[in-house]
Amino acid sequence: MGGSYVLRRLYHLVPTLLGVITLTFLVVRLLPGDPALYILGENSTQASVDALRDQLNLGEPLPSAWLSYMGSLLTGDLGESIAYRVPVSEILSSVLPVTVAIATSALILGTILGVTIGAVAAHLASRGRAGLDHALTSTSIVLEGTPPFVVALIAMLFFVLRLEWFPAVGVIDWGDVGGVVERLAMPVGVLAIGEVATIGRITRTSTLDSLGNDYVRTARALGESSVSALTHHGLRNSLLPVITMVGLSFGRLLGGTIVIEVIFSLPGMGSTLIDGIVGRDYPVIQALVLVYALLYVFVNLLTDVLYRLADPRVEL
Amino acid sequence: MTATATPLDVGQADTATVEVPPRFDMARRLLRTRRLQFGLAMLAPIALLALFEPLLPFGDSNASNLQARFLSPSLDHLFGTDALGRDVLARTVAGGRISLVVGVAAAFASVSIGIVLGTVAAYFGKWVDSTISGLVNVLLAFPGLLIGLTAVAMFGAGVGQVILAVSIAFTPRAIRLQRSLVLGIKSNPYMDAARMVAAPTRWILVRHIVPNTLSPMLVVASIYTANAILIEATMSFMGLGIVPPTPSWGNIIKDGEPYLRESWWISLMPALLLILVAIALHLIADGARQVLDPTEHDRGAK
Amino acid sequence: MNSTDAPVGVVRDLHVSFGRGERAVRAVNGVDLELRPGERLAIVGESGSGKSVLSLSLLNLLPKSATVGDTSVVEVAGNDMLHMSESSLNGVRGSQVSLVFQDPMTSLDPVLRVGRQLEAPLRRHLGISRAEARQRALKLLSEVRIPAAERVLDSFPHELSGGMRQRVLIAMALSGDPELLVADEPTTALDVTVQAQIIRLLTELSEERHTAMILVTHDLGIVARFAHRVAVMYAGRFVEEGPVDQIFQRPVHPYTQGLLASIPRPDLRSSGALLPQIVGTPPDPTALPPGCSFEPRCPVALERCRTEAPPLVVLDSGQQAECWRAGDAATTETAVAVS
Repeated sequence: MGGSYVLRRLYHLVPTLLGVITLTFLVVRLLPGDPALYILGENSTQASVDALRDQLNLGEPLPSAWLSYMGSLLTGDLGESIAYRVPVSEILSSVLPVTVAIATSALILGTILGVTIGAVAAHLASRGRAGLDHALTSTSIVLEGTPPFVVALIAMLFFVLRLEWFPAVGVIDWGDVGGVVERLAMPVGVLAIGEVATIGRITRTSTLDSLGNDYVRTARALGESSVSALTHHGLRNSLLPVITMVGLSFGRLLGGTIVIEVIFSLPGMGSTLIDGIVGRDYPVIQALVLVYALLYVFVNLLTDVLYRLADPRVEL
Repeated sequence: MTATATPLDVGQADTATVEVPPRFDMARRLLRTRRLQFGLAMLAPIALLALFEPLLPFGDSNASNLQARFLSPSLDHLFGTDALGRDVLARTVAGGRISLVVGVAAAFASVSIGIVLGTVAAYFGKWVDSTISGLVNVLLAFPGLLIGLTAVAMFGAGVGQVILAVSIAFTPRAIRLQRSLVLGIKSNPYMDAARMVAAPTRWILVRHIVPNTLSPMLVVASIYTANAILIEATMSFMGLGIVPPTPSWGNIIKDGEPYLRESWWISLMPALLLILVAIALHLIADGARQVLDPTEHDRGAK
Repeated sequence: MNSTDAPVGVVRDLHVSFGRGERAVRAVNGVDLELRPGERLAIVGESGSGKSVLSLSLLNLLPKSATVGDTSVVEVAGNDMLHMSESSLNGVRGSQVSLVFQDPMTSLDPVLRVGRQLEAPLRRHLGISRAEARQRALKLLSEVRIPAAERVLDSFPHELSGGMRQRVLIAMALSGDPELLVADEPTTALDVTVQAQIIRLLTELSEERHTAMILVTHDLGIVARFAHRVAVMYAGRFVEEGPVDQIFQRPVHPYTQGLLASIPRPDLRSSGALLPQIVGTPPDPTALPPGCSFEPRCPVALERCRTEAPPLVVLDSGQQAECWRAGDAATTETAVAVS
């Protein structure tokens, strides 16, 4: 039954999750020399160093410190930001939605566009229109090789600075939907471009494969038109590899949001993380890294379940 | 012919023999693949220029000339000059050297460690495998860029640290890949044959298993190099990778960002080269895959 | 079989090649055939003889890269298959003529249930409702002797055995009640015991429904009980054709003789003789010789066979063969090279 598979997977995830938490736990402790001193710098007072050491539980032996860390995580206590002196969970609650919104929108947009373009390219290729298909493939190769921050810069250059179609700065007010869309359009668009290219290529290859497949041949022999065969049989089957890609894509997107948020000055997890790294705000770094990992792990789990639902040959 | 042969199959002379191409034959075939040629054609000039940069007359990449700031591309300065009057072409080539070195070093470090640990995990199994795989799974839960950033956050910035940081990001993938390759080979019948003649473990590994994993790992190394270069560029762009005065494409682009509107060449020239190198490496990887994996289905785009 | 009925399938001067110019692959080089309603024809040929291309041509399912000769004619159930629009062809395929392919393991869509796939052509050609289609599908499954039809309809292809899948495919092919069913090596991928069952099923279905059938195969052994007529294909042409018992008892063309002689027979084993074979390999389809294409392998070839294409010789028995020696080949024993 479906439920049991999910449970089984969650069960297998536990060691990984524990490992992830432990790794983030160790981030602070592996800093060179005395972590508290390293964080606050040479010119800090002994008192503040001691206070920080207490706050981060650095005096305690590793095992019990780990347990305290686990304990506080379970109660939702992510520590306090050194720079802003507010609970990290507060910071998180305001920046998390932004990043998730951007990453998810880019994923959805990129997937839908990518699958469509990939299917069209496959159709063109199968009908012998090599020219257009080649053009699409070459474009996608170029796009895949371009890192998001370069795309973002180019987009900034044209759409924001030269044409001034979109704002370069501004807060995110969730109440003002129009404003949010305007503000997020560029970042989401930039991130989606890379996904369109990757997913498009995979869809194209996968669809071409399934077009040559025997079951498509059977359908055609029984009078199904080629377009209908493509959508009914080709597409559904070709989507299976695409689904597996979605998980990986999300990981890439999460990484991409970091730099995109910086370039477009968006108040999300990424820009907060960078500020944290620059400012040596380790509680923030720890918490954000942990949340990124958790997001990625759960999206992968979801993708796996989706795949199993879509492919009847695989046991759920 | 056996008595069970179907009537029409009889008489077919078995002229076809399967040949396993020897090593340099493989190299020749690789070089004939159009994609690979294209990729190499794009990559080679950049790589060579970058490699021999100190010996070439590009001028000092750090020589600032405040009289000649923000000059747009011209015959004197093919890529223009930047905010400090430095020749962008010189900086780009110098930066390329660093970026390529970092990318290649990180990729090959990851692949090397990956081959070793992946083989160990797959071959010795049980708790060795569980430990290594467990660690790999944990690390793979983090997006690559994140690992790089966190590592730099812990070890500080600089060329060596960045290479280390990026290697940490790619090694888990390499380990996992090598592990599955070795597992696949391990289950091959000829492995049983080797075991039956009681060949020693190390001999089996070195002579049979690892050589067969080298081809796919080489393809993957290409892709890792591309991605490593891109990650380093992203990190340097955010000021958390290679820091000035050492140039790298990432930080040159960053330097140009405030002047993007008017003096776009400062950022865009290195960006262009970055893209070219990434595409070139992907093409090389694709070309290599076509030769090394004959079951490739890609129809159309050749 | 009423010989005055209009033929259900007519092929005239069919030429199909791939590619152009010097290196063009000539797959089918001038095939003529005529099939009466309810008649069963077996086309026998080895790989590369062009038989699969021929079966695809009957439904005009050739790939874009195929070139058909200008004078070629393919008429099925009154439809000019080579000159119809794609949409008209789609209307004909599956309803007036059907094709069953070789590999049942991959010929069904793995993500759709069998019922959906069986009902699809029914709904497309007959325009009936889902419920009615399901009823018909159940009936079809019972016609192809599949028990537990309900359960099969709700299954996925990977849950069925190869033989079951092939029956489902046959049911799908028959769903439109076609006048002609073409089966391209329908049993090659199946176990020997299942092979016999499927061939028997096809024979019975043809009798019950008065459906003409063309069975394309490389295996002469399965042909005997199925076919009324047999055509032997070599290098894109029919080198011999005739009623099944004539072909088996008195083959005219040396190739046919070679094929028959190389069917394993129990009495050979005891005599210690080696199984006869036809030496050599089929000709390169990009470089067919000017004369008889079988000449290089023919044990009784004459000098003129190499340079002049053999004429079609029609015998009283109803057979016809393309051979310079057809006249003097009333023999069943031929010198067959024993390797």
